[in-house]
Order: sequence, then structure tokens, then C-alpha cells
Amino acid sequence: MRLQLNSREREFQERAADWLSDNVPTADRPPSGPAMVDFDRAWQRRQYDGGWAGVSWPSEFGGAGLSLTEQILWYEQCARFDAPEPGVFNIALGHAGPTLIVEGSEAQKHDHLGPILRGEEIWAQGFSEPGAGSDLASLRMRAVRDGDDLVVNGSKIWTTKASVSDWQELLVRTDPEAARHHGLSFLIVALDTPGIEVRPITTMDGDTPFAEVFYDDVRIPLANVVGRLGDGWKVAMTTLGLERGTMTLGMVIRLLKLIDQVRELAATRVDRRGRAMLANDEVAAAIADIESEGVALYALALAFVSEVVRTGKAGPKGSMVRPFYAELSQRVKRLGADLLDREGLTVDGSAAAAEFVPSYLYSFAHTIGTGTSEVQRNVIAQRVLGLPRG
Amino acid sequence: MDLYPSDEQRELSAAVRDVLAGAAPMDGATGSDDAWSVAAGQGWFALGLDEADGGLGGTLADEAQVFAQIGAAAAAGPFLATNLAARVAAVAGERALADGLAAGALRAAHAFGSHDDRFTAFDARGAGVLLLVDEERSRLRLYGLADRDIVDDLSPMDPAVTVARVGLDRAEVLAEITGADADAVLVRASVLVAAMLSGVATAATSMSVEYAKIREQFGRPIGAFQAISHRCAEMAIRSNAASAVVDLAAVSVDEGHPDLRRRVAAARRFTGSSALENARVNIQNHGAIGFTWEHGAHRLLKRARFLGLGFQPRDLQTEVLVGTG
Repeated sequence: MRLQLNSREREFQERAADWLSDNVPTADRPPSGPAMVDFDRAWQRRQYDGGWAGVSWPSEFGGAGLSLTEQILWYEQCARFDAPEPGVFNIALGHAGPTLIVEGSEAQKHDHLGPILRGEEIWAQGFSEPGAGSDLASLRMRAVRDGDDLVVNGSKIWTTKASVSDWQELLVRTDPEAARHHGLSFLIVALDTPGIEVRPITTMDGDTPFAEVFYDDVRIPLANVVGRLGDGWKVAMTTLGLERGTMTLGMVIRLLKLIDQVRELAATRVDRRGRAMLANDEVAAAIADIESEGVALYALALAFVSEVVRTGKAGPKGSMVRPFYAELSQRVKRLGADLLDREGLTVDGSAAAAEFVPSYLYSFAHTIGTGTSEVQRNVIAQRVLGLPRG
Repeated sequence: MDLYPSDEQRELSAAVRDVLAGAAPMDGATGSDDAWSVAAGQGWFALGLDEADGGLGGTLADEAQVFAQIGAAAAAGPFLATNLAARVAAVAGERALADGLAAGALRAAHAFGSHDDRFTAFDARGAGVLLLVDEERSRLRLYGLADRDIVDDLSPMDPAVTVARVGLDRAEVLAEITGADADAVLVRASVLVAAMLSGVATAATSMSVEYAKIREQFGRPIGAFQAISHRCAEMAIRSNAASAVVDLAAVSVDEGHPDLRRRVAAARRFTGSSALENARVNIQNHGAIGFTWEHGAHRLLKRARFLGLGFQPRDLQTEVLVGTG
């Protein structure tokens, strides 16, 4: 075990740090609307021009062709330099691209990987349905073959960034006779195809991050099936653990920085009696708790990515990082909001309120999205610990 | 950058586990001399000492693997105090004393405090040395100890230790270290206590998971019920994170990382709360059998409480973590 970098890793990290210190945008990311999308596109393009887009993606499709270690170090450095997150490119970079690299046809890779890395294609995910949330394998949306096309009818829900996306990954049922995980297919769909309607959903923080998407006789060419018909479940799950793995450390480091901010908040504010908040034993113990949990999460994430790098597989720790991260993140944001006292009763009354209140409200999504905490526990119990299914 | 235990570390871990499984089973046969002599023979007390000091030149990360297994077995015997006492003697330049402790020929009791000359000491019966720990003033002292110094035997809450009141008015100081030297040993002590606590957390997880697979109620294994399986999943997250944060802290000390004190305090706090919570949940998962003396579940809980109040307790962790110390 070693925490120090070897010479190759150090050289890469120094180059990344040099580039980031010159290129991270100084302006804040606009919170919503076309300005936000333009900002994310510009940042992705800038990384591409600098040779930093798709660090571990194949070089023939515009990636840098380096190893998982460098990809992990890149996301880590981005977090340390407060670089913008992938934003609207989250699905494109975190799932769609990596899935195409492993399962896509040559034409699919050629058509999409370069545009994703250049910031030209935004992707959305179309997995959940109104009747299939945690029980994703029960999804019902049908695709029926008609000549060289599949004809799709039904609806998807909780589709993140649907209204600004160009393409969508779509998981549909192509064989109604097959049971659950079988008979599903993974398609890629241009969201401007006739018959698709996107209805944004307003969430509890007042934002519209996702939408319900309706499909009315939407024709999708068979060439847009990724992998084989009926293999959709396998295709969708192929890169889930691995690619998330490379983003894990960066994500955790951003949370550690937030924990520092919360401690700073406690150190600089006074309670209603005018005493420093950090002098209150209860506050100090709460800060010490989240700090220790933050370090433990970082260690678990580091142990997980070390295993990914050593074995090339996302091991059991991967399924533990996610719920730990989600639940700690929620506790940290709640503590931030708690420290604001009544100042936290507006979302924009002060800089601190604008920083902590919206993120507190958004944090309720952490234990629901990408698998609820309950589903994550089922996965750990059954697949890692070998406990029987309920 | 690699937090993946080496093959040698995994072999070491397995060897320690095998020794303790044979000699200190969870069902109550505690503190056998067999385990002690095998431990001494395998160099558990000399592992982290420099070769120049008669040690094996291992890292703190290596030692952490050993102590995690000692914690997991809820093994009785002053393994940690003897390891630390050997280091105190070596740092103080008392080579003969260090050799005796490193070889396991001398056992070390330990006690916390500074102001009195009466102390509550752990594992004092049969010990030749007492490690007196003063965390407030950064002072570590070794006293020569004999049974005549024991004033009163007390009943321990944790069956893995013995507790006695000792008087040190006649005891001789054999070695003393203070300041940065003492701090460096105290940091190692925190990491090794954290390692033992991570072992407790891990053992509780395994015990619950195995039981949940075989115990049947309402016609199926209780592990099929989410009330149980989700608790097991939470235990696994805590024990995996506990083990990882111990490795992180140990390697940070070995490499002299600038953030090492904070990482050590974090590891100490996280493993303390994880061990206690896992041990608590483990008893609940076992139902009435978990409440019996015969079953090992209570031993893990008592270890978690004993170790949790050991080196660097919560208030000292808070000082480091919030920067008020």
C-alpha cells in the first residue's frame, strides 16, 4: 500500500494541475437555462482542445488513450481545482460513452464518441418508467419490429436533462414473452425524432432537472440497437460500476471540500448568544463526526479504485461507496442548513443561504437517484454478503 | 497511489487469524499462553520496531493488519500494551527492556492518568511492566510492576482484560519518553486501537451475516427479511470503511503525510463508532441467544467499549478534527 504517487502518476498529475490552473473557468456556472448548457459545452470543448477529454477513452475516437489510473487522477485533480463538473454531459461521459466503447458497433462509436468528447452531444438516460422505478426490470415500454425499424410506444420518467439533450439511451421491451431482465433491448435515440414529447417535472427545490418523456409511434432504426436485441439489461449494466468508479474519487473530494466549508461556517459564525458556534460542544462533536466520516469515505473510495485499477473490475466496495456517499452528503448538507439557523429560512437571503439551502433541498435526491438506498442495501445484502432474496 | 493490501500483508493477516482461531476461540477460552508464545514467536511485538532496535522493520500498516485480527478475535492478553511498551523502551534507549518485551518474555499492563499514585491498571496480574499513559502531558512511562503493587483486584466489564487498582509508590521508573517522542508513539497507539476496533466491527458483520443465513423463522432464513438484511448491509459498509480508514491512517503515518494527525483522529473516531454500532446491532440480530454469556456477541460489544475508551478518546479526537486542540 502506498499513498505517494509513482513517477508516472506524479508526472501526469503535475501536467493536469498545470493545465487546470490555467484553464478552469473563473466565472460561476449559471444555475439553469441555455446559459448553463453553453457553459458546460464550452468547458467540455476546452478540455477536448487541451487533450484532456476522455482520458481513458480510445485515441482513435478522440480520447487520450491512457489508463484508468490517469482517468481517476484527472477527476481527482478537477475536484481539487474546483473545475466544473461534467454537468449536462454527465450521462454522455459517465455512461453512454463508456457503454458504446464496450458494446457499440464501429459506426455507433464513430458517430458518437468524438461528438461527446467535443461537447457537441448531450445525452439523457431513459430507464425508469412510471411503473418501474426501483424494480427497473419490470419496465413495460414496448418496441415492435417493423422492417428495418423498431416502433416505440410508451413513456419514460425521471429522465435527467431531457429537455436539453440531443440523444437518449433507451431501455425497452422487445420480447414481451421473455421474463423480466430478458427480452429487453438497449437503443440509442435522437430526441428530435418525430413522436417524442418532453414534459419537464418541477422538483422540491423548484428546479426542473428532469422530465417525463412520451413516445408515440417513434421509429428507431435497427442500426441504433446497442449489442444484440434482447441483451439490453446486460448492455445497460456493463459499465455501470466501472465508469462510476473512475469518477468516485473526484466526487468524494468535492464532498470533503464541502465538509471544510461547513466547518468554516461553524468557525466563523456565532450563536444567538453571541458565542462562537464551534465553542459549542454539540456543534464541535457534529463537525468532528462528519470529518471522520468524510475521511473514512475517502479511504473506502481509494480502496475501491485501487481494486478497480489492480483487477480491472468493480469489486464489492463499489456498491458500498455509493450509499455511504449519498447518506453522508445528506447529513453534511443538513448540518450546513442547521448552522444557518433562521437565516436558512430563505434560499437567497445571504450568500451562505444561497450556498447551503438549495443544496440541502436537492440532497434528498441523493438517496433516491441511481438506485434508492433501499435498493443499494438489497444489492449489498444479496450480491456481496450472499444473503437470500426476500 | 494504492490502498490495496499486498500479498504479504494478506498472508500476515491470515496467519494471525489462524493463530487466534486455534488459541482464543470466541466461546470463552481466553488468554491462553499458547497464543501468547506463538504471537511472540511470530514477532507481533517486534514487527514495527527498526531492525537496529532488534525489531523486524515492518511498517505501521503491517502492524495494523495484525491488530485488526486481534480485535476481531476479541483475544485476551496485553498484546497492544506490550507492543507499545517495547517501542517506548526502544525509543528511551533501554535495549534490554525492549528486547524482553519484544520477545514476549515480559508482559506490559497499562493505565491512563498522571496526577495520582493510585491507578486503575489493565492486565496488571502477571505483568512485569506497567505502561503509564499521560495523553494530556504527552508522557509515556514504564514502571517495573510486581504483584505486590496490586492493591485490589476489580471485576472487569470486558472479559478480555483484567482490572486492578495498583499503587506505584514503590515501583521503579524503567523508562520515560515525553514530547514529540511520546506523541509519535501515541499516534501509533491510536492507529493500532483503531485497527482493533475495525476488527471488532468486521467480526460483528461476519457473525451477523452467517447467522442470518442459517437461522430460520417464519419458514425462511431471517436474512431474507429486509429488517435484518439491510442492517447487515449497513454493518458491511461500516466495517469495510473502518478497515480502509485504518489502512489510510497507517500508511499516512508511515509516509509522514502532512495530514496524518487528522487522518489518525478520523480513523480512531470512525472505527470507534462503527465497532460500537456493529456490536450493538449484532446482538439484536441474534435475538435472545445474542444476550447470553455463552455466545460471543457480548464480547465484541465489550471490546468495542473498552477499546473505544482507550488511547485518544472522543474529546481528544474532537480537538484534532475541529482544530481546537
